[in-house]
Amino acid sequence: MSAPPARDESARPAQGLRTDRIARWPGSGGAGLVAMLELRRAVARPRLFAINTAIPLLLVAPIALGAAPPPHAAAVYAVLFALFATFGAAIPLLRDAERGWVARLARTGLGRRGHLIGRALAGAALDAVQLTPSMVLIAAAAGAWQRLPLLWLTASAALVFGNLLGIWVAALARSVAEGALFAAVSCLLLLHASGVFRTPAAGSIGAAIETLAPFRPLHNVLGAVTAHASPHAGTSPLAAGLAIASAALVLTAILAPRLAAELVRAGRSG
Amino acid sequence: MSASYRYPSRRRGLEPVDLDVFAGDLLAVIGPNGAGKSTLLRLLAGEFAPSGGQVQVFGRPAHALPPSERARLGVGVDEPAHADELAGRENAHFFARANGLRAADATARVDALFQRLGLSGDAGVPAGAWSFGMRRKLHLVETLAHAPDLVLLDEPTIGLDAGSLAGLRALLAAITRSGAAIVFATNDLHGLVPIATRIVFLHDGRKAADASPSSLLERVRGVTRFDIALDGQAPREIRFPPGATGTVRDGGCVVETAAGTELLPGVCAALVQAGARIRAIRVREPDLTDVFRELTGAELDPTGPSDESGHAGHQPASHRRAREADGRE
Repeated sequence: MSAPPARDESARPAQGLRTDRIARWPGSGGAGLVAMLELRRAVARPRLFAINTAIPLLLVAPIALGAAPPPHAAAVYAVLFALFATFGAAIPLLRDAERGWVARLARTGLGRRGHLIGRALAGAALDAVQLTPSMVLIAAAAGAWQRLPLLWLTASAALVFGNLLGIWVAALARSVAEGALFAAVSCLLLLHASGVFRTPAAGSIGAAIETLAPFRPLHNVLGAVTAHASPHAGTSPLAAGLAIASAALVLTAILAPRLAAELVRAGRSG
Repeated sequence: MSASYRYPSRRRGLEPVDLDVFAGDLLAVIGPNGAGKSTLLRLLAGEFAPSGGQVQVFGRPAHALPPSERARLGVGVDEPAHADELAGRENAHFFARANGLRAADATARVDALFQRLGLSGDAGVPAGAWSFGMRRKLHLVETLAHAPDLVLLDEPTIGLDAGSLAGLRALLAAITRSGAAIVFATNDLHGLVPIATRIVFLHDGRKAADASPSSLLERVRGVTRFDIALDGQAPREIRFPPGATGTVRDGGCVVETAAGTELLPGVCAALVQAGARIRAIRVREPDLTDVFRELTGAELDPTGPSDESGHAGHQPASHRRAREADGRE
């Protein structure tokens, strides 16, 4: 007596749009799936992960351990964090677009929103982890341990914004070189608007813009940590940072189909 | 679909083409490079909207399918990009999940397809370390794992060894028997075309034929073909015997006759008389390349050897120039 033949799972009949295999990730469009994939990709490259952790630390250390004036130190840290997030999102995304990965995901059942937002959130989480030693050093050198949680949370919100900014500039770019240029220009302009490079006169247009500028909460907290002082009066930097990151997430969700289409096009022309 | 497409660069992708794909179809889209095969697949995949007409998939415009409907497509076009740092199995599992399979279903399907295509032994190896052929097979697994209702494949047999090709044939036949439709583009008549239930010839962006393989071959039934390889250049003028028609190609000629091999001596004599030196003769029944030539006047594979000489095939100079200027795939 012979055993019945094993079922050939690979030739299982297609059953159309079966309800048992859809309606997953309600509302997220697969953002969690994409985020998990990106995190696994990062973990699978331990050397790159270590480099991305060590380099910010190497840049932060001489400033944190030196005698840099707190406003200068806060400006450098803000620039470093913002560029780290924006470049870190834009350049790999453009490389993925150029090799056809973005187009492949666009042809699956993933939503465009899920793809881009999942990628941005995973990127921000990785950035936050990789910048944690730098943040610890900044807080320790300034003797402001008690502000470390606020710094970490506010920086994480800024990193979410930076990653979303990276996605936007990647969608505008047609090559990795263009992406790097756009990332640098947009990031530096927004840092400037955030009051990182100058202090606008009270009541001026610059001061009004600064209150809405996306990297202001980060700069505010970094200034408070390095000077061992309280953040500027007004809205809590963490609340402001979260509000800015949330607004950017909503905007990205709205624009996601267009952004994804541009990224696929960038891949073809790249 | 009833649509045309012109690329933003103004180069033509597809002239107006009418095509209906039905459940159970195993449809081969055949044509030389630049015929519009990939453009047709991309239109069906909804990668772009047609310039004219409409492409409907599952009753909706293909370029505006919601994610839940896109999950019913299995799209295997373009170069297979993978997450190179992750294992092949992880890649396939991700795509199965991205197309809506539950984790347990995705694992079962991926494992079964890996087994079927001979990938199980390397399933845990990062995809970046896989060979070209293995990456192509991984792409097939990723395209098919979620049991799509419409499968679109572009040159699916590139890089496959004979064993894998046999496995893929059996798999695709089983998938169409289950009610899914498969559309694949190729100019390799030996790969999957023998199992196709329907063939569409594309030439210069136009549909030249849409029929079953048997009805297409009916057009050339009774014709015998001599593929004759010559040493050196073929003579300019050859007076073939009545009842035989010849086409001179670089390095040889192709002669067709309805009289079987009866005219072969006369054909050889005509060639020798014209100054040709015959190197090899192959007598064969006509195939789809002959049907394509009869329908379009062009060679299906202008670069590939259809005779034993290994020389490039003949193609009208106007076609060559147009292709070189256009650069289409």
